[in-house]
Amino acid sequence: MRREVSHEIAERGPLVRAGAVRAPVLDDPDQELVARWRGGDSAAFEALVRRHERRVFRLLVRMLGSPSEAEDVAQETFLNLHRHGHRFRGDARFSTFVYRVAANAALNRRRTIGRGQARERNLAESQACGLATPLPLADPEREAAGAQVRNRVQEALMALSPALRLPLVLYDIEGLGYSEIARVLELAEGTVKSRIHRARQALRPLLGALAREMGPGRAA
Amino acid sequence: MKHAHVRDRLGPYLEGDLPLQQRALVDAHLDACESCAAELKELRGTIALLRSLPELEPPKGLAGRVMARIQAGEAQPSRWVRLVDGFDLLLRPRPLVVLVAASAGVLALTLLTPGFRTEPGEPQLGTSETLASSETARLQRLALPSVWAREASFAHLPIGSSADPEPSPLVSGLGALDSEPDRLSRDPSRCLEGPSQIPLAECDDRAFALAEEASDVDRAGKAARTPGTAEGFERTSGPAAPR
Repeated sequence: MRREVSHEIAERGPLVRAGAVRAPVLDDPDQELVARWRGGDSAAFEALVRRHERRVFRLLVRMLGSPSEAEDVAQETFLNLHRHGHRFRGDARFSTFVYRVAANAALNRRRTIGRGQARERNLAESQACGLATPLPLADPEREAAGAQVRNRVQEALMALSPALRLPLVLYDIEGLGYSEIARVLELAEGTVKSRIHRARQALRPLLGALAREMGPGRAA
Repeated sequence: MKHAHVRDRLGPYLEGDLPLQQRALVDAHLDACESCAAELKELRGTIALLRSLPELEPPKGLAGRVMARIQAGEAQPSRWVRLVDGFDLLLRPRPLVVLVAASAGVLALTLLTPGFRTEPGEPQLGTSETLASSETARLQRLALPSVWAREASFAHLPIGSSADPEPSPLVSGLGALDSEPDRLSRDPSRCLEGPSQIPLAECDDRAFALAEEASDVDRAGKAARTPGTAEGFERTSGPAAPR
């Protein structure tokens, strides 16, 4: 027993996430494209769409649970971006603005359709369309097990309220920092931290047993 | 440190956000408490599962479909959006606009205040003629509602003095002011000098004099029926009006 505790202590330490976005606003890589788009260059907007479509789609799939629905909402997101682009003041990164528009579109979609109805439909669809199996692996058994795990994680995510799910997805899956999430959601940074912690605490009963089954190192 | 306190701090503990002193306390508790240590382990596993979710590729042609919809005009702002943007533009804080709006508001308020409003052809504010006219107008306002004027006339009487049961000559006298307001304003300085002494009483006296000139016969008849009334009104204090 004592050895287990010692091992646990050795495992502790801050979780430093690779790829966390914490660059200052001045380093916005989209600045030039945004300026060209505002000058009437539609090709610049298309370049912006191509640059951000991956993160928008990823966020929407995790928020909505359905790839086809995520694509619909992703299109709406970029149309809204084009429609309301003049509201982007440049005091945050353009990607923050994109995330905000996408998050609003996702929340609006959740309000439009019934939550329970959407959850059932999306879960069935995500399992049917192979969302959980994006890449073929050499070991079919292992792949099937991995798909099952991913389905359970997505199902647990969908059990959270959008108010908790959104900051959690932005932090743990998208890799944004607290301050950027606060700007995306227009919340205080302390509120963001609190929601992320509450979301993890809510997921722990749902995924804790699965994590134990997976064992240390296997989940990651 | 209690279990609940430790569990509340597990999130910042995992992120390395706890101050050193609190982190040491949590460490000490985790060394001794298996349930809290197990919860920490589950939290770590949960986070690891979330971060193990695979990258997702967007559907091919997404950008092309978006651009086609934009070219079809689907991204045009609706009327509602334009309206909201218009309000947003108006409500955006701009010091110069706020200053100009506030100045315009004060100017409008000043012009609409009755005391400051001037009609075309009227004398300008601040001249003695204007002040005299405004005094005349005030007297006219007093004279127009005859009942008020009558009651106002008795306000000059000492408490306990006998009031005239008959219509006061002031009523007809002030009525005459309606037709001859200019005669009062010809010598406005008299009414304006020493306002704290008894200018209104003198004005009243002057008004009576004008009234008497205008309706001499009527006044004589009424004075005959009710002797003393005119005197009772004409003066409670101060000098008698010149006749």
